[in-house]
Amino acid sequence: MQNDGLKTFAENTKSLKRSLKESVRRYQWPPNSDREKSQVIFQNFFLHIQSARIHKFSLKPWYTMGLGLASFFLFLILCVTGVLLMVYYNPTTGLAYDNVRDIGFVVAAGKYMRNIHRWAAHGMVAAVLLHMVRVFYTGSYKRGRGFNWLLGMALLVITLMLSYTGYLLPWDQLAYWAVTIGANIAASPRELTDALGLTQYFDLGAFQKQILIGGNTVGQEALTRFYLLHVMVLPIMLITLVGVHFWRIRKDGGLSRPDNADEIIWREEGVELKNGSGAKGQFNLNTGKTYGLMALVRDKSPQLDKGPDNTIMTWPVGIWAEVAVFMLTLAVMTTLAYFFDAPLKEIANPSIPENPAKAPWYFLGLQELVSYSAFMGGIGIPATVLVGLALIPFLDRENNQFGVWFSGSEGKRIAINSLIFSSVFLIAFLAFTVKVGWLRSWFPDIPQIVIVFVNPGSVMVLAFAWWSLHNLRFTGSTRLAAIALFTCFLAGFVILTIMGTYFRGPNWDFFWSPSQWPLH
Amino acid sequence: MSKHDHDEDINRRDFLGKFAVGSLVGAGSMAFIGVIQLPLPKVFNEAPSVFKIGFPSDFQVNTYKTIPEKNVFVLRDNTGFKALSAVCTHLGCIVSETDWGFTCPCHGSRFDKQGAVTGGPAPKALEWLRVSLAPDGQLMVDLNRKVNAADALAV
Repeated sequence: MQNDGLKTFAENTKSLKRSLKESVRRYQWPPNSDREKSQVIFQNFFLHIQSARIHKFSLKPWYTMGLGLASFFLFLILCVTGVLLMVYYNPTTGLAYDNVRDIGFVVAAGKYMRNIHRWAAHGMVAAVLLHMVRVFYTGSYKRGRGFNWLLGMALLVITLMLSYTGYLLPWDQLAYWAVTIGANIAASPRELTDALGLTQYFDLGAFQKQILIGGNTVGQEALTRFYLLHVMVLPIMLITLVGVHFWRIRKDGGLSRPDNADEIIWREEGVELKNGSGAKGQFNLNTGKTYGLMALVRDKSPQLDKGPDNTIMTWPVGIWAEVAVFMLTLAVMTTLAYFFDAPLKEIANPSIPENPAKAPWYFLGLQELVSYSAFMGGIGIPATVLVGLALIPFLDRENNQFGVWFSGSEGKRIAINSLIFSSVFLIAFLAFTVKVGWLRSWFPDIPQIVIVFVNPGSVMVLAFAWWSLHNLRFTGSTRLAAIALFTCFLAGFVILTIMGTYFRGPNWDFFWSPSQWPLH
Repeated sequence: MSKHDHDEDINRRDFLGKFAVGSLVGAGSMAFIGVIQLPLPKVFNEAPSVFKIGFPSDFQVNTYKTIPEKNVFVLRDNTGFKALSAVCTHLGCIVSETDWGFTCPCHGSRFDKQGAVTGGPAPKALEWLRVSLAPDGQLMVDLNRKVNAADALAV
């Protein structure tokens, strides 16, 4: 008996490598059959958020352009570089700036990590915005995906908040004044309550500002709070919602694709269908179909003798595509970080603002708007736009032309018309306000409440809303009206951002180029 | 007990289940109301709002003097001493003195020499602050006490 025990022990020791491997990887390796390939996905915690099979159409690069995945990968890059930066960073007003300088000049690879973190943060904002644009124009918020669109909106807001909170941490001039402006935007409902004489009863502005920065001016409390939000609260919220966002895509039957996705693939692959009607070769199941009984998802089921199924196993081709997007994202970020250094201005000085004090590019459109009215530009219009965006799937419920860019040629025409209308209108209007001024230049004693509601920003929103209603009346289609409105606001965002970035100088005056800026 | 009373009753399992969920919701909302007060600061860890700015003889008549690190302009005119806040009423940047009065670098608000808005997005005039005399003969400014533009400390 003792001999047997020793023998078993010896054998177990010999096969230790194999049994360890098997306890981790409980599937056949390398996988050969479809069943084994599906096990690779199902049995892996991180991979099982995606389905075991994907449609060939989803691999087309020009459809999604990998933007959603790129946003997620940028977030992962930000997590890794962010943790590395935390090794040396202390969120105190006395140390923060010196720490960031040390990271730039003393810490091995510190400058490179900070550069990657900076450009990945900018890249993530850009990727999330472009991803939203893609999802909107392909109509992918339709057919039960409305909630996922809402999650996407929440993720956009969290991404912007992550950028904003991260902006303060270097504690330089740019950080200090951008956050002072932001905190006072939070306090700007006072503009409205002051005008209505309500401030003494209910000071919403002061409440919001104090809860955000923990004081009346940006100082240590603000830095502590922003650090906490930046490294803990917001990333946890983001990763949780991203999980739900991905899971919903899988439950909704994978990435959106047009109804004729199968025909497109068959045509490309030269598949000949036996009978003409076979092009429709699928039937709808109300309950959806099962993949190895792992989950019931909303999708169509393939039908026998009606043309080949156009789904393929996710392993390995789908994973290759994802890794390719990751490598491309990483390559762009490391290259940018190699050639361009993250800026760091002088240490924060609460007495002398930067002139001009410019926020990062994605907030410069907003900064242009707050230069008309703090409350309307900083809270009123952004809130209106966010609520408007969130309601799109519920106000436009047309379910045809799903997964098609611009919902077809009519939508493309509306988008181009809207682009021309909004650009011409907004550029002419901005030129007018720069040249002639606005209400206060004509009537110096005008009450503030009039400026809050009648300013270039609110006029722009009204013009865009009118254009969209006009299109709704003439086309009778909520989808086309949504395309008109979305295109207007997209063009508005781009034009205001360009205005704030390139044509505003000291004292937020208009200049054709920074070379004309006066000495200040 | 009549039959009617039995219909109104809910059974024990339903009662316990609803009680559990109800207590969760109740406790959760009470906890939220309590906890939301935590991040609202009761004490401000900031520089004192009342500070000395020097002796009256340090100030020339009819010029605005900047007080370092305090974001206040002090004016001595023939009525006495006045203090004008340099914090823009728009979004809190610090205005600088110009030929026509004051201008804000962040969004271009303009104010005249009396702090009244002459252009830009600022919703109201720059604030005049109370100036008083400390026992040691220095002037003091109180950031939390707003006064009218005409109020001056005659010395």
